[in-house]
Amino acid sequence: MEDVDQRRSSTAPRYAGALMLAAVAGHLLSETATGALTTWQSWVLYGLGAGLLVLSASAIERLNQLAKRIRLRWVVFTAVLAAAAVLVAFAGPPLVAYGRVLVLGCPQPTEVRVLTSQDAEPAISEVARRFELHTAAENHGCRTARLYVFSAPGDQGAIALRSSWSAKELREIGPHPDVWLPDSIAEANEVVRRTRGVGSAVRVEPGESVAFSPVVLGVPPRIAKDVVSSTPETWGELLTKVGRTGTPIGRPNPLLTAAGGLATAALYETLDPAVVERGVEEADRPRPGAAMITTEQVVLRHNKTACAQKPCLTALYPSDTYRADYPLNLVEWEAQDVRNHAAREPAKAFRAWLGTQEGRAALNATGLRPAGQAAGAEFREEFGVRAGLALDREEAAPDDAAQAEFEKNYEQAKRDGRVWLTLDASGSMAELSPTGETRFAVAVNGVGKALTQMGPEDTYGLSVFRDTEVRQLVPLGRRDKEAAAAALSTVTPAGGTPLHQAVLDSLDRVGAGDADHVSAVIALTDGEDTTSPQTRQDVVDAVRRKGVRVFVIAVGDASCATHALTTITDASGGECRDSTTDTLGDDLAELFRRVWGGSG
Amino acid sequence: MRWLRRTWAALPRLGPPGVVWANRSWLAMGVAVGIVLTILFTNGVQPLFRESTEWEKGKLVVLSGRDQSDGGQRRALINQWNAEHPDQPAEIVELPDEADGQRSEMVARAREKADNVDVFNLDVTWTAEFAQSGHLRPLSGVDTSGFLRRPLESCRYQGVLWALPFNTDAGLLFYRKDLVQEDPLDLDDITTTATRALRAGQDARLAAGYAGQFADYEGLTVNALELIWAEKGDVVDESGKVVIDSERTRRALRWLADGLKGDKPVVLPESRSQTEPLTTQAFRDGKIAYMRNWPVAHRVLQGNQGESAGRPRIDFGVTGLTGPSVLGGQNLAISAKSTKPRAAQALIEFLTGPRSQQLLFERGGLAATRGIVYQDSRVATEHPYSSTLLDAIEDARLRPVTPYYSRFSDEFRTIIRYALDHDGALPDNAEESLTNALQGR
Repeated sequence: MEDVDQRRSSTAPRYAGALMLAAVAGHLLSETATGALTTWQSWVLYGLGAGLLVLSASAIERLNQLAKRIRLRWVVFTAVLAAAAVLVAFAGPPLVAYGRVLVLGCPQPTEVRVLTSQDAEPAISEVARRFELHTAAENHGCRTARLYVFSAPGDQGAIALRSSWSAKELREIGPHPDVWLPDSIAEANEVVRRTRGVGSAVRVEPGESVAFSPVVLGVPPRIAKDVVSSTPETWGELLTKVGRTGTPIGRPNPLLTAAGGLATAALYETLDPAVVERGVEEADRPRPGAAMITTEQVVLRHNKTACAQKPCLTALYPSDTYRADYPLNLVEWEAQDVRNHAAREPAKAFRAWLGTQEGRAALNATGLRPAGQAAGAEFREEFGVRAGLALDREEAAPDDAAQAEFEKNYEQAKRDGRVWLTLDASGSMAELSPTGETRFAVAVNGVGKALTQMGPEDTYGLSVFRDTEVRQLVPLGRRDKEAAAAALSTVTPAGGTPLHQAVLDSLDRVGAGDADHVSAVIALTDGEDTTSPQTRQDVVDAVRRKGVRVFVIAVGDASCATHALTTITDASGGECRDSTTDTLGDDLAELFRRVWGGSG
Repeated sequence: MRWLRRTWAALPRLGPPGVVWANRSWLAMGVAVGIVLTILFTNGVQPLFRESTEWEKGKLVVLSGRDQSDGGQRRALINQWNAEHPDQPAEIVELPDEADGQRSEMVARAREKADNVDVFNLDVTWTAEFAQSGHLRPLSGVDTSGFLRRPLESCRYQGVLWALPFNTDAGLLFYRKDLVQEDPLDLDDITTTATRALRAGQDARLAAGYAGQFADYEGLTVNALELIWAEKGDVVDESGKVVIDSERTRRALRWLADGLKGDKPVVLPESRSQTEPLTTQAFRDGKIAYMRNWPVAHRVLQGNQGESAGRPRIDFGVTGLTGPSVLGGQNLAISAKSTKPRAAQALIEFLTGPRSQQLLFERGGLAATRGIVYQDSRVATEHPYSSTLLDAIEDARLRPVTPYYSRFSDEFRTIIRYALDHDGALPDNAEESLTNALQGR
């Protein structure tokens, strides 16, 4: 009986121990090979794990025999086992993770999609790279997150979020964002409010400002010398002074961009809105020889990267200026096909990191000003900015009531739009689009849609170009929308593309802008110029002389990636936009909306 | 029943662990029972679990970049599929133009637990990453004969077939017929011809000999690899080892760095900030004698020639690069989480089938992944470069196959940019940083 008892008592802990070890080993193994038993390396790891298991089982046998000689052996045995289990539990995962990196390489980082504004994109991209390196430093050199930073023009990011990121927006703007870092909290609040509803597929969790950048007036250095004074000056005073030197002042659209809106709101407080609107022209980016209303970080970056003789722009800091304050909002998607659970953790980690010393330093290095951080080495005269700030205002942006008031004033004060539209009617426009219509037919529909954007005082004119002629269809000054459709129905596309001729003709017909009008030319083409007697340079010269903005919509074979179209639009401060037959109508409508100055 | 009990009693009991099996009758019995069980299992039980071959019903979601074909041929094919298979309608969800943006959305969706996509349209360089991450379902029972070897190779990772090639691509060398008499055999030939043409000064527009895409994006990786291969150098060898530090590699980079310099440069200096359309334009404006570009440039140049009346036209020819080209293109793969794998597989077999490939190439201009399409006379008239392209594709090489391709490409470009600023010299840590990048670090 003695014999049997001994055997029974010795097998029980043996199995218990093996079971425990098996559980631990199994857990570690499953972690090691998560879902990827597809490569030979992972099978090797699996084999190693299994071998280890067998070895440890026989080790237990030995241990057991050893334990037989110890008094109170069950207590000792359990204690040792528990200690081993604790050790494995703590040291195991990091060891396995490291071994995994050595054998299999790094696990793939989690993808985080970061939506920001066009102005902030370069800075945020730099900060994102720093964050990736930070995650690598704590994880055997493997990045745990990969941040894809992209931007949407104007307020389109906000609109897209509000409409739950439609298929068109997915194609035109970018992937579904996990993080939204717009220019201003005011802009974010609006979206947060609108997406709070129960049925909404998207939830925007509002976050705090990670940094700010004051709205400034960037002026060419020679002008800065003349206008700068030792006493603080308001927006109104600076604009008047700079305007007097004859320097054109560019301003981004005040309804679509934070910088344009904040500066205009401040300007309206000290100047008559009509005076302000006559003193500025629309511009998206700094142009040589012109002043520009924008944020400080844009001035800094422009001087640092796109400027031969530093600085190209000197920032003037109005004492009553507002500031862009870059809130970091987390975006949660709940619809089945676009859910983003995986990205939420790293997105939160990114937000937390931006609040740490390291994160703030990274923000500061890109020209942003994180709260509670003295401006660093980047803020120097060479880059046209200064470190010390003396701003009067507590708040970053005007409150809701003031904002509504400002928008109303702007609608009244802005100059009326006068648009000349010229359409390509060359042979290639007869090509069929995927829907079976010709490109020309799609364009005609687009024009109909675009004309609905017309404000009460706005006007337009229309011509088509083909072969060697430019034909006027609707004279300037018309307001009725049906005239265009009726006239266009008589046109059959054929022949070459006299684009240059058409743009020159349009410039003549629309005339330069004046105190009450803003003029613009919109050309829609599906190829580059082929049959004009005039060269590209002729067009560029004329555009410069007239000071009329030229916009080009490129479809089909035409592309804004080539210089041919962009040299014309750049010379005028306009824009070239690639489009497809799918999006032509929307693109045209949006352009008209911009040129006519509305908010849509 | 007594005999049963007697037999049972006669048999040795199942002993505790450690008792050696000595009884042969037990062994024989075990074998017999094993055989019976096996037969029962294979005939009776297994068929119950065997996968049905019927296609699952429901919508098939295809995640893809924008349809770049002429006249939306991809969509036309999908429409055709939908007409023939109303129970398995396919829908293309179009992603942004930028490849990084496409990848970002695809990876983010693949990471979720939900069944949110059935088919991925992957860039050739992403197969390894998606396969290793477990985002794809391996293909089985697919007839892969008829596909071109190289594009098919880009669908395999670690010996497993993960995708089928949708369309392929290879770089070509465009040249001006008035300046170039014979096809260049190596980079020195390009230098010689270019220098001669520049010295002769017969065309005032001519600013340089050669242009490629050297702006800081994937194009730089592609162009730099091709130049290194043209000099018979390499960056990553067959076994995955980094071998960038060689005389041949340095020679290629020196050729490029030196070429960009000087009064009459061999390589167009603007090409350091050029992407494909800009290079095409420089060529069309007569600024260069040679251009490296994808076949799509042929259509653009041809189209411009057609409409251009009264302007000096560029008479151009097309040939292969002096070395192997980088293989481009896209592959169709099934999402691991798709609940409709059989229908999805049928769809990708349809899209990569001979008839679809013919249409995509002939009408849409997307290079076919099946050899037979290149023998078609209509394709040859529509795309006169097709036989040159076929040679280039058969000779093309894959970019390093690694799940961390985007890390590799980033690091590689940093090295190339350094080399261009330092007369073709490599940074000291080039080998180390690339080796790390290949492991995702």
